[in-house]
Amino acid sequence: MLMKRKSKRVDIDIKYMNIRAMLSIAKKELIIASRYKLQVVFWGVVPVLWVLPFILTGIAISGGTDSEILESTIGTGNFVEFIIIGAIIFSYMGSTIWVMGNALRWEQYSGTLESLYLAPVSRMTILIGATLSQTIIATIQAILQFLIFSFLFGVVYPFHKIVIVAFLVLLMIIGLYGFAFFIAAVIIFFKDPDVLNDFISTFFYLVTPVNYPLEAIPISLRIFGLIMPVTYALIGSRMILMSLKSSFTLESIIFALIILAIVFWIVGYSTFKFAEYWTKQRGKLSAY
Amino acid sequence: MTDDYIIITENLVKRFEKREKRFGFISRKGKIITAVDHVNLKVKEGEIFGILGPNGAGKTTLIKILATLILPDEGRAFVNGYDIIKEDIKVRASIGVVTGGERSVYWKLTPRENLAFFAKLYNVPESVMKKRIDYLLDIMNLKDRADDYVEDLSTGMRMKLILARALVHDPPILMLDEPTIGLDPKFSIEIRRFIKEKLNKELGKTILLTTHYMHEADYLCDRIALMNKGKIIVVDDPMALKLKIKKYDAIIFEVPLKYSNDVKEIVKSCEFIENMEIENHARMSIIKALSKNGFDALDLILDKLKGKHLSHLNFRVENPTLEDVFIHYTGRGLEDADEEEE
Repeated sequence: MLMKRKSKRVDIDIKYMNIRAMLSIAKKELIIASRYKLQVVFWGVVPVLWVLPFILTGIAISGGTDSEILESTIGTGNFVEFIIIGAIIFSYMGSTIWVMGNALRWEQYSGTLESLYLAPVSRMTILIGATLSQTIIATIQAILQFLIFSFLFGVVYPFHKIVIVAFLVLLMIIGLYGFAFFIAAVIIFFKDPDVLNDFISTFFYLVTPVNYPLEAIPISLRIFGLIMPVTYALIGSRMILMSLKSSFTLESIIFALIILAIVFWIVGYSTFKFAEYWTKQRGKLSAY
Repeated sequence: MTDDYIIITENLVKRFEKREKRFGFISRKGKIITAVDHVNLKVKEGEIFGILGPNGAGKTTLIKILATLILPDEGRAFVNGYDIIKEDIKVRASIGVVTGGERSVYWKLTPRENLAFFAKLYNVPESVMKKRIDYLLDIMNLKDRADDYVEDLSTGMRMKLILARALVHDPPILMLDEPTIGLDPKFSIEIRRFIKEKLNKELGKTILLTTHYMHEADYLCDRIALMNKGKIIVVDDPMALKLKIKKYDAIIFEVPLKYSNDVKEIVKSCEFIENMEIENHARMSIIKALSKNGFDALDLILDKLKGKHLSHLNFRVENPTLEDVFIHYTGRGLEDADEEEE
């Protein structure tokens, strides 16, 4: 099955190769993740545990699942629905940054980074493939969270509008991938993925309207929230699913998500390419 | 560039800066180490070409440059006709690389899953992939363990899987970085035989390998480059390298003590012998005679030994080893060089 022959010229369809490689990397990640049985069980449970304290605190303070103050600000008072949408959509951001920032480091720890880097595919393909698997896991988690919260709090969303929400989330994810390339590049330079990932996730959790409306965030911090695709996806999704009032229109939200995606991809791509060149120049994959 | 050579390097240079004194993000420029120093090599298609040198000689850096993992500072190189900088993806598609030891496959996947994963990364068509994986598992004797997790396999089996991974896209060139390091002697012999007989002779793969084991280079390689401190010192086939430094043949006799004086006299009287040393042990004497014309000397001596009914004695003619060649060119042995680098 191996051919005896002299040297061969290599004909490669780079675009097709990269797509196939990306999908097989995502599949590999999912297979490996599924082999840690306990982790699979936690996929559905842990995200619910992260959100529950906020909901329970809200219920304790307001005495129910509705808040008049919230209603006067955004036109709907059900903070449980508000928080659940926030948690689910932000989980895409958390997982994208976490996985893309750590993917190369994890491969290095397991000893497989060089084997991957020797494959004739773009290094960004490796990152996208790994992150794609996490996006799939985040989607499974989102579905499980919806089911669990529906059971616990009787939350029901107009699911016939889910296609538009999915479109917004897709645009957000595309932008986040660009942002995460930038983070992956920064990690290549500064090396400590845990600290940087934690800081970035926590900071943007604070300055984006995950658990509270945008209006509740001080203006000096709100500026940072407004450069994040997750902010627009959150506002847009709540507008669609909860009839939330906002100074943004759906069109302006889609426009912002597209612009941010383009900007983040340009910045992320250029920074990552530079980081990759820097690493090859220094001659150490261990720079990861 | 000629078509006869499948790997060519021209004045390849790689320097690393060893930074010193770190204060947070601040570090001071330090010593420059030239890991690869104006290396010129030409590897012929279908040959096993070895780079032999001590640890820290620059062998791995050179392989990593050719495998496009590291950028050179100066010079250029072509692999399978492709420029390693401008056509790096085609270079990677042309080579199978074994480096990094047994951890370079996924332990939570099975051998079959690992091979399928890497086959897809190299865009092996689905129609070919399954047959090739079965074939590789078969020739590596991994068929029975193909669906067990890699973490449950022995070190030897994992090394076979890593070789199979390097072959999964059927590349014309294999780059093997210290392929038997850390393996037990029995399995090392098996791997070497596989590299020589199957991969090179049967399948015609061009193989570039690094090693610091002399006997491995001697057994495997059609040609050897001796590398020391980033420089290629000399390139030739192992026999020619040894002949280049050969000034004398050493004829060694192992003689029971009671015949020692007789043999000593016979050897001494031979006109071709220029020098002689005797080591006496408890029951044996070892007589080492040096001659510029060893075989003629041996002829004469054997004739005389037969006359004295001593033709049953043990003897051998010793040639220089690659270690001697290395010492000749660098003034130190491979082991000494290893220690110095450490």
